[in-house]
Amino acid sequence: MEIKEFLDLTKKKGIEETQININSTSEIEIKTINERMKENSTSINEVYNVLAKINGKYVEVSANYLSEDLIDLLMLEADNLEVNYEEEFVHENIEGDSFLKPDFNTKDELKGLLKLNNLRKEKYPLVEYIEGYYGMISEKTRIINTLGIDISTESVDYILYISVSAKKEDITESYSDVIYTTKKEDIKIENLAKEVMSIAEKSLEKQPIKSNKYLTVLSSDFMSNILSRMIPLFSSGQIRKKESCFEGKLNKKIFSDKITIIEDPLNKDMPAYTLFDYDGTKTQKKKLIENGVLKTYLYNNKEAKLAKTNSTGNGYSNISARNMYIKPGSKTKEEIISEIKEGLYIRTYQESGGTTVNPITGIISVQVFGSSIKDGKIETDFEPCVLTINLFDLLSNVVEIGNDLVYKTSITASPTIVVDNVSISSN
Amino acid sequence: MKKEFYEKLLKKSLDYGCEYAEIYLEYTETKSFTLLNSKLDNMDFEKNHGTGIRISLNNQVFYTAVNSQKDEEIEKQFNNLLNNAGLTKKKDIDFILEDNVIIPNDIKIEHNNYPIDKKIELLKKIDKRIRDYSNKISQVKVLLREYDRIFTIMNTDGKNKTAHDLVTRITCVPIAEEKDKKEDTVGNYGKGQGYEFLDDFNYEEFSDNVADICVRKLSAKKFKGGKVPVVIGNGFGAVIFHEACGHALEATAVSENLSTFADKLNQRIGTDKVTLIDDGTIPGEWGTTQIDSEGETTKKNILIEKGILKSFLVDKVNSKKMNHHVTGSGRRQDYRYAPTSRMNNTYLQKGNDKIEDMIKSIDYGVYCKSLRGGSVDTITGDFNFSADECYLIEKGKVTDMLTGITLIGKGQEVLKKVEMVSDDLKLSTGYCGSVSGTIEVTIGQPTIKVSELLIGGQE
Repeated sequence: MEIKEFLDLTKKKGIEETQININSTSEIEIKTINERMKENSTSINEVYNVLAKINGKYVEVSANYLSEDLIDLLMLEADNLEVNYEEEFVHENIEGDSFLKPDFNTKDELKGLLKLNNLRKEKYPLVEYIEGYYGMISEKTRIINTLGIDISTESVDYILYISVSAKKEDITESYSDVIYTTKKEDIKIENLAKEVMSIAEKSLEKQPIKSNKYLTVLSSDFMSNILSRMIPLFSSGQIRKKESCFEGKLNKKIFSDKITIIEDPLNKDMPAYTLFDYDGTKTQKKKLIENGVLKTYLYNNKEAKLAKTNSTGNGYSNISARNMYIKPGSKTKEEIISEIKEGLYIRTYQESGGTTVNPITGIISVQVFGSSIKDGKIETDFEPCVLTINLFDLLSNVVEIGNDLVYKTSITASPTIVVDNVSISSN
Repeated sequence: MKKEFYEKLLKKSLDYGCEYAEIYLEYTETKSFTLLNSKLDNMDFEKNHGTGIRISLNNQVFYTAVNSQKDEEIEKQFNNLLNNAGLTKKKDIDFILEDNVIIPNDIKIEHNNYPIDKKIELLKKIDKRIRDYSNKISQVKVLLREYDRIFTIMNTDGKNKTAHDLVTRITCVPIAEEKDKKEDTVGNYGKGQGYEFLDDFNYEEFSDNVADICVRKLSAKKFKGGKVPVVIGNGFGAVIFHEACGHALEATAVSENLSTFADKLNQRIGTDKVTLIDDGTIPGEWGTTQIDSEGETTKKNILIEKGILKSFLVDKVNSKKMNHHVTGSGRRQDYRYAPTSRMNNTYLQKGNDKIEDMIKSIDYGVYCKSLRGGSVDTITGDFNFSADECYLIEKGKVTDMLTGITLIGKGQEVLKKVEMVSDDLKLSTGYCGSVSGTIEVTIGQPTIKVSELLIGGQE
């Protein structure tokens, strides 16, 4: 069923107002392993989120096609829901934006990935396997409603992911890294591959370390991922439901004054650009944490109405953030490490499948990988350990922040950060 | 359904030199009902349909997915796929697609046939029971989720099958508060059934158990961390096997030599206490499917028998690469994903040891009665998982409750450290995420003792 036909039908059936958010994605990806292409896939998908006002109640359904029975489901919700959360329909048109056209040539990108196998064989003899993944996602969000509104925003992102396994005698290690970017020229396949293969070979030599509290240098990869797990803590919805350890902490100092966390969805140089959120609220740059003080929660329309405040433009399928990052400092990563007499460099962690950051307690407990640091130099890798710390302690014990801001997830970025007194459990 | 249309496309793929091709049509419906603050706070309804098309040749897979089931769109995507693969017509193959077979299921009470007011009533009973348990319970969320999938798989083996899978699950998340401390826990109960899944459900026992754990966690203590012997509880405790070896036995990793067990078939990889089975046929179980996403009949697969590796989990495309029989393990989240080998209902077989003997045998260690999720690197075998309900063992006795516990190990080592296995086998529901998306899986085990695992602590 076409959109206009659907909207007309909702009117005929007595629905007061209807708004449809159409999220269209088109993805291309290629996967390689050593000398061959493993998989080439494409995907086209549209998701329709329908918001309706029926007898004063606001109800929603979701589908990837429009049909009359969606209206029946909306009616069913309206009949049964015991709580009515007021929503707001978009009533103001937002001027559209232009964006770079997608630029992905499967044959060329595939050539680039397959060349890595020669590099592997020539320069990294201990690397047995190199897997490459190169993908492009173009996304368009359109909101159209019975008030005559029709707005849209779009973006294109590129993702490069390299994963290798290295072997020496009976020891096997693996390492992987990723680049998320909106600028194709940032994708330097060979550079990333060299870095990943070097680290994998280096990690074949490991030394045990003692369980202790350490001065740790947390990589941008580690912190970007932790930051993405922190997003729900800022959600006003989770705050209201008592599912966040940030509850009751607004305008309070919760982290070191070195920590400022910013969200900038309107920055087209960052991968998660969007002009408006799924509610149609224009997005805005904002400081979530400023010099350690929690400045704002994140709101969509529904939660904003409940809290009698304005939406912050963070309404997605859940309340979320786009282009969220820790404000960088001034020192390079190399300068930071050179100043450390004794400590650990935490390169990455393995997700624990459950909650990496427990939203209720704030506890982080993850398996980590990295190297020792001695007299300003990175030394041997350490055997896998468990890092356990409370989030408030993690970001309060900050000693230094680097200037190397890098996106290691599609929505969050961080520079290298030095934190003291981090509990590490080892063999 | 127009058999001739699909037959023509599949024949074309063979004429163009494909080794294998399939067309997957899917329709799904998801409904969830959330109770919060003792009221029906949210209802989520979602309907999706789509088509996934896969061709494979020379160890390569080409896949496309589109949210349409219109003939013109399917034909266009099919031709695009052949074009992407650089294929042209080479031969004229005789090919016949069988008539469609509808795989019977034993659903007794379909989701739409169970009254909505009874669903809400059940959620409210659970909510009240938990809140009444203790005044330290400050919030309760109870969620009921229904998922229906009807799919048709047609492939160049001539198979043409339609199946209907469904799952139903209750999830409960209470939060307890005392002074400045707050804790949560999660309780789940689900089956691969319609509302007959409530026949064996005791909501009072379920609610009391979840409330009890949540409240007692308020007085949980921090742990020092280190390598200690561990007793792991039954049911969801089997996350250890899911992570330690389950993923590493999937052909997804094995066929590319990216598994620590890839070259270990018929070799000892665990103690003789370890017999691990993956069974996609258990009637009404959460991870059971009538057929897999490639149209193959699901099976009971003995993966490890008394410590000896006997089988991998192998889908159709990887079976050719590995020269291994198909195990009916090709699964996918939905049409957007190409299927690959995944787990169904994976469990450790019962033993004869007694739990009290396990505890008595430990001077200083940990008893992880229930766990949360985990993850694994199949190449290195490094795995981890986090504990939910966990206790200290001191001088053969269970003492303080512990908090903030993560356990890590290597799959190839931990299987050789399983010392004792009890007889209280229990299966639990979960979700597993991997390359073919997030799917329903059951994991299960009796209570076991592992001689040592590294545990993270805050002290």
